[in-house]
Amino acid sequence: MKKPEKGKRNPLVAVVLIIIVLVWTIPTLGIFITSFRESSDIYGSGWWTVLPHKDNVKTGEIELPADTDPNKPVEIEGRTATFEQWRMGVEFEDGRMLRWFGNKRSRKIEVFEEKWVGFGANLTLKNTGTYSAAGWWSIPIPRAI
Amino acid sequence: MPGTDANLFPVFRRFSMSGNIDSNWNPFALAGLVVLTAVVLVGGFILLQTVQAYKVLMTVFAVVWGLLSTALLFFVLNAVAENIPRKIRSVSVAVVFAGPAVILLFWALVIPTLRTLRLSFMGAYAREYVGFSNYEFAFTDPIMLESFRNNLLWMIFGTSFCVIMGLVIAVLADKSSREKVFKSLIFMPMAISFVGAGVIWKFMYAYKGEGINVTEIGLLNAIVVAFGGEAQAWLLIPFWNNFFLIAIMIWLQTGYAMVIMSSAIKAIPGEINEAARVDGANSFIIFSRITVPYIMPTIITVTTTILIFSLKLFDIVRVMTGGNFGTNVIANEFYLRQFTYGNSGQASAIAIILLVVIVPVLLYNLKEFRRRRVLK
Repeated sequence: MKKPEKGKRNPLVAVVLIIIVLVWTIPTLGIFITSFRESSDIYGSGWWTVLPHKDNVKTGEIELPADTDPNKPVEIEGRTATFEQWRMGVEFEDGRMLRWFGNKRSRKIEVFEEKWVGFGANLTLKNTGTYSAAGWWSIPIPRAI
Repeated sequence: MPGTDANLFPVFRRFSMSGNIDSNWNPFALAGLVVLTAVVLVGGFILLQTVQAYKVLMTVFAVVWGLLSTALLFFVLNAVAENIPRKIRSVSVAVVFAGPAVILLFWALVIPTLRTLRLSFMGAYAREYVGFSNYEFAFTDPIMLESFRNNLLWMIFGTSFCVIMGLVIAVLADKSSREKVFKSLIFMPMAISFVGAGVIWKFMYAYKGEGINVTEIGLLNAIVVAFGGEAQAWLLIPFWNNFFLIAIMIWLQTGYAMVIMSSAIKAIPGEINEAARVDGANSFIIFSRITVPYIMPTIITVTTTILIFSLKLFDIVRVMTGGNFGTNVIANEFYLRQFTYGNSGQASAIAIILLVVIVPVLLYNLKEFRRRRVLK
């Protein structure tokens, strides 16, 4: 039996339904995308980062001289900051962000720049472990020792 | 030789003389058939047990023998039942056909329940009787009290949200032209196992912790951080973590409630809605005065089904928190007592309590089913 009110539709109904359906679908979409990502990526960034977005991308490294004393304020490219500040990352006017890598002894600075990423998502179909070399059908059989 | 069967089997003669037997089986043939069936059943069983070679051949034989001997058994039992006078025929036929199922049911359901009841009055290793001390533990231990409280939360919030969300989506989808798409997407989580749902929601609730330049990989924390909030370890916040677990059940079970109630809404005659509209009723009045009263039996059935479901809920808690951080439920505590602590007495007491709590809801559900059948 066709409902007569199907003809004149309330746009509010569609909006509410779409919101509910989005909330219901996003968790499954997340696990679906996660299933195609590299293990290190999964634990390094959220699954939604496969979508195009602006992110800090590492563009270079700066080695500090071996005699740099990290316990005192350090001057890099004209900016002076303490180790803790360098550790959190210092933003430059030209958009670059310099961040100390690792502990004090590393004396290494990583350079980040904001760029659009996510167009060539790093996805994989090989999340099947090490035994995939012989084909997907070769199920590893545990051997008795 | 005339009258032989009457001499040998006076019982047959008496019945055949009273003339209320419909079967025209020769008693000798029937007796032979019974013996043959017994030989086929026992012989096949012994053959299968002794001959272990020719695996493929024996498998084929087992399948053929199993099917044919079962058919033969029912055929012969039916013939025997037909040879019994009419007065007790209906009973005997019922025994022949329902008997095996009843026996299996008794063996698989009643005996284990009684055994559990007995174990619940015994010690941890079922060596001695300890009276009611297991039940005393179940009603006084802080862990158990916490489990009861959490089960109550699951029952109240899990069930009501499932039913309300299911009803709202069913009613809204009924008005939409893309009904099938929306309903399919809402129903999709029903196809996911609870453990799979646990993995999915671990990614939703993931918490990376404090530290320098940490990127949250959990969607919920990412949203909170994006709006300037602070990342939370959602599953470790006492009391409120229960609601984050309940959300998973709502996500999974709303599809079920929606599908059942949607079909009930479809059964409402269009004339009623049209008449109400002619009388000037708006959508909300139609919903509250026509739709809800009309599908009330369905709502009750769905509610009780999900109620039973949330009472015996186990998987989500087991996968997400293992019952830690104040999220324990009765079924998980039963599992822990039985399989982790190896205390069959306490575990059985918990199982019996769970059974006693569920049975009234179950009976009400069955009564409701029966009442609706009568009304139709």
